[in-house]
Amino acid sequence: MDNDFKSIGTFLKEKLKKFEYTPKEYEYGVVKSCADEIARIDGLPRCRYGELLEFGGSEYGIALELRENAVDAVLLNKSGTVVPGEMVSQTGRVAQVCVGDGLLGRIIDPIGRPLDGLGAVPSDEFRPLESHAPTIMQRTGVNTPLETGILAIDSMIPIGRGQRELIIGDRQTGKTSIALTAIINQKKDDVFCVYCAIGQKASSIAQVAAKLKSVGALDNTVIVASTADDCASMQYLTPYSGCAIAEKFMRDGRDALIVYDDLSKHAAAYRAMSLLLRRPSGREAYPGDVFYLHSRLLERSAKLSDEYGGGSLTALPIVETMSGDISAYIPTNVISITDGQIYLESELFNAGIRPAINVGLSVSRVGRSAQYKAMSGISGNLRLDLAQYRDTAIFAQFGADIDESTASLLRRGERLTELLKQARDIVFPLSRQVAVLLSYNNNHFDGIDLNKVAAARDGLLERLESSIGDTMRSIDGSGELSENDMNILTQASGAFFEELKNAKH
Amino acid sequence: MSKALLKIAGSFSSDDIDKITKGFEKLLGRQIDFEIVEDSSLIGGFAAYINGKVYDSTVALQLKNIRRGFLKD
Repeated sequence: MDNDFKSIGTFLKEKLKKFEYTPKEYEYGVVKSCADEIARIDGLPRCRYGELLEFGGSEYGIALELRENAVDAVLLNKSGTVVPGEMVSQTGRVAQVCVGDGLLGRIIDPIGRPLDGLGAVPSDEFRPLESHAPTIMQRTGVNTPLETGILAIDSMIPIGRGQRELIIGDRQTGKTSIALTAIINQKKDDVFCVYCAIGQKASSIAQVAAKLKSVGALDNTVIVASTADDCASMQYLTPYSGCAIAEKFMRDGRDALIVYDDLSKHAAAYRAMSLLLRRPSGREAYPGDVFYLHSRLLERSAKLSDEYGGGSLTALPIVETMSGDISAYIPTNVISITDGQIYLESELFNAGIRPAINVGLSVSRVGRSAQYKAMSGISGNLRLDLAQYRDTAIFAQFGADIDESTASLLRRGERLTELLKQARDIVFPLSRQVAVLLSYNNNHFDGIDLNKVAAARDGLLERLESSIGDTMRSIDGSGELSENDMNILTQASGAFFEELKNAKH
Repeated sequence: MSKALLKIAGSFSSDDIDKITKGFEKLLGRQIDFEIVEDSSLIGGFAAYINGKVYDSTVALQLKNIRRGFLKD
């Protein structure tokens, strides 16, 4: 024990040898006024935009408005200790956050303080919250799929690694559920996930954390959270902080997925800040640079070329609409920035179609090229089938006489809709998705009562798992559907449906 | 004569304050009228606030530097 103390003593002595007594000379400012977490400061003529300022040694703020010999800054805490007359000094640093593998499984705030009561975050590397997006030369095309485990998305609106796919819809339409299912499905693929909760209820964040923990997905996820109770500046910083953490994975040559939940609240927080900073307001009272606010964030997602490690950062931003209005300011902005959107509708949700994806309005602009061969070969006409069905179903409602071909179209459409329903948190690996779609293409489901389609699907998957498990594994492993595998799969599913038919009679 | 603020930790003798004032007048080449404020949070030493600049020679600053150095290693 004595030895231990001695070695600590010599260690400290060794360290302290390096330090010399050095008086320092630096500029200071004086707080002129302070209200609503905005401090107006006199002085600091050489302050830089975005620099971290120190108020009396305990409180920090970010300089966001620079004038001749005066600075406006937003405070990062609501401590109420900043008073007029307080001395302010520059730190020479911009806001930064700790990054690295030590963060996995943790819940932190935007400046890296732990929120989960598990002690300090073990990390010695930092990245600035704001950083440049990868340049044109550093990027390469999206070429690897990012499986969400949701049949409707992976088949019709495929997402590639490095893509930005918006999830948009009214409140209570299952936006967060889709994002969480995508995170849960990354467990097996070594994709590191970051979930940014921006200005959400603390109870919702707790639920998300509990959900991820219960399925074991929290171990490869970092949650960066600011609650509705945090000040606007913290909410404003949250997505940038999450992005910095995810960027570290990408720059290390790994794959990362980031969910921004949600950017409408982020825009609202930025609007509050801008109005308090007395910046001129534009449409819907948002400031002029609200487009840049999101474009510079989402531009940081990329698929890097092999020279730069080949890592990727996929973004799933979420935007909440008001009564389905996607032509509001923030939705149109984010739609135009992203590489596609998944549009969720409350009517579909209430009709029991979950995930409530409106296939007509949802697109993926780059994902097709990244889809697995096994999937792209059999999912080609799904969108068309579904679109035709939805159109025809509207007319069929009037009870008009319909011919046989229309009736068949309706029958297939109804069954496809039923097959695409998927319970929350249930993920379908590629092989299962392929098996379901193959049976649909082979018209196996047509003879089954509508209310028994889901049960038949589940029965089929169970049977395939027990009878041709090896083939299913090989499809998952290779991502391709060889002729041989296809024959085995067709035969096994054919046999299952034959049995089902015989059992009925 | 320019107005300035001198924060000191604990009580300094008037001789000490005279010395400090003379030192700054020599450094900056003009007369300075210090308002003296005692601030125990400095722990030791003094900090002079003159015309938008701090000349910090406090123990608190040194401790902060040591802390930063430790965190960096």
